[in-house]
Amino acid sequence: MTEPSPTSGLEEIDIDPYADDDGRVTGPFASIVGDDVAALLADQTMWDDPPSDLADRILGEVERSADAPSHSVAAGPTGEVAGPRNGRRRRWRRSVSPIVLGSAAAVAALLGGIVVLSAISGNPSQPVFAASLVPTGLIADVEGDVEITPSDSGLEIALDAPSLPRRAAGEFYEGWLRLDDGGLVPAGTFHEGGGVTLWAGIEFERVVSFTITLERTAAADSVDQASSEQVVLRVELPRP
Amino acid sequence: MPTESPLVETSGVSCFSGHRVGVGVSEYDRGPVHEFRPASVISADTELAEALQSGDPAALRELYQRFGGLVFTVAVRVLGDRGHAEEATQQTFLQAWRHADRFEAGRDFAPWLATIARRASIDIQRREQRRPSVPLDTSVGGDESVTEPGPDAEQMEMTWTVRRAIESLSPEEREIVNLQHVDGFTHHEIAERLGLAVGTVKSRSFRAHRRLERRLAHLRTTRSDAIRDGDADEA
Repeated sequence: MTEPSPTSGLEEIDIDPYADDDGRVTGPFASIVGDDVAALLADQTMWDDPPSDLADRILGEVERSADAPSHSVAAGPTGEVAGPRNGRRRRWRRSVSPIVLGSAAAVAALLGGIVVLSAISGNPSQPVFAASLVPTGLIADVEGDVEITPSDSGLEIALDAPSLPRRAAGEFYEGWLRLDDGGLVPAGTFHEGGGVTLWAGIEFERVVSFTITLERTAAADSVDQASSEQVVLRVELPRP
Repeated sequence: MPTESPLVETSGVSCFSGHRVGVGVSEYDRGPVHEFRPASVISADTELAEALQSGDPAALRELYQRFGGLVFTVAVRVLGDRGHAEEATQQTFLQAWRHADRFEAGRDFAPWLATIARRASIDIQRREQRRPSVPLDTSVGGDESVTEPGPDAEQMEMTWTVRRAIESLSPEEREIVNLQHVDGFTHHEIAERLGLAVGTVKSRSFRAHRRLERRLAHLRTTRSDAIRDGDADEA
């Protein structure tokens, strides 16, 4: 066998919980996502990409036909129909990039992009809050997203922050919910942040912020595993 | 917080209503219930839509780079032919360019494009079935009533949801998951094929499937509910 490739910091594991004893995942994963979805995953056409030059062909067609996007037209007060907008052609720039600043300006911009959703009446399993987390700078180049769904058991907090470096040797991350009276409710601990589900037994309406802290295992004779206050990621929840 | 407040959204994440608007260039299906978009993506989508509507070709290229694979997959699923799927993909993005004003900035592009792609593919399918050179086993006198309608809207939603989940994998994860599901290889077979340690394959497989589960498990719930509700209606 050739020299194994670097794992990019990932630990090798002995057991893949998604595989059977023979090391195949198709059967076990089909039981999770259903046969329809499993069949799609097994279809090579789902994985194929279009030819790399197709984008050039599309743009070439646009240029040849001098095709400009149609614009909405509206009748003015005199009944005249307004012509196409004469707006300048903006140069679009990619703006999808990791949030790396913990400045107040970045926080304010992020709060403007938070999505607050009302719980659908009669369907308590719907998420009510979704947002990107703001890094504090304690750990460089981290980001993440959080989604909160209330249920009869409490709040289900879906966290996706794969950029959090994996902790080991007595260290871990912990999620916390700050309440409107200043209280703090723990939401669970984890080693790495990709696809984590946390839980907290508190009403959503009382939550004002969600944070992730870096923690160390308490000493054997300690009875207090309180927050270290070393916040790695945070988000404020808009209040009504 | 009001108990019956309307859905408050800063941009098009209204998918949690589960309401289907319909199909067509000016109407489009909304996303599945559990596929939320981070605020950064919503913001980028809004900018992209506005740039598209202002006629910036760079925006069209960016749209293709982000969604070309998804559109192509939808087209291949309908047409079963790569060449025709390329044509349908091209038509889809040209239509998106021409009708960009009908798209509400901030909405998720995926269901809108998937709907256009499905229609473009069906149009090509019908055109090909009218050709005299079409084999008899795929056409009967050009009768459109026997045209294979292709996947329905729900199947399309499942298709592009699975495609997006696949695209969320890293290249290393995607390679392994492809070998696992398409070819049915075991961890050991993949490790030997790619020259990796078995533990590395297991680790990447685990992380990839954990992400896939999060993105896809709701499809099983959605379909189970639909079947159960259908049975209840018949009761």
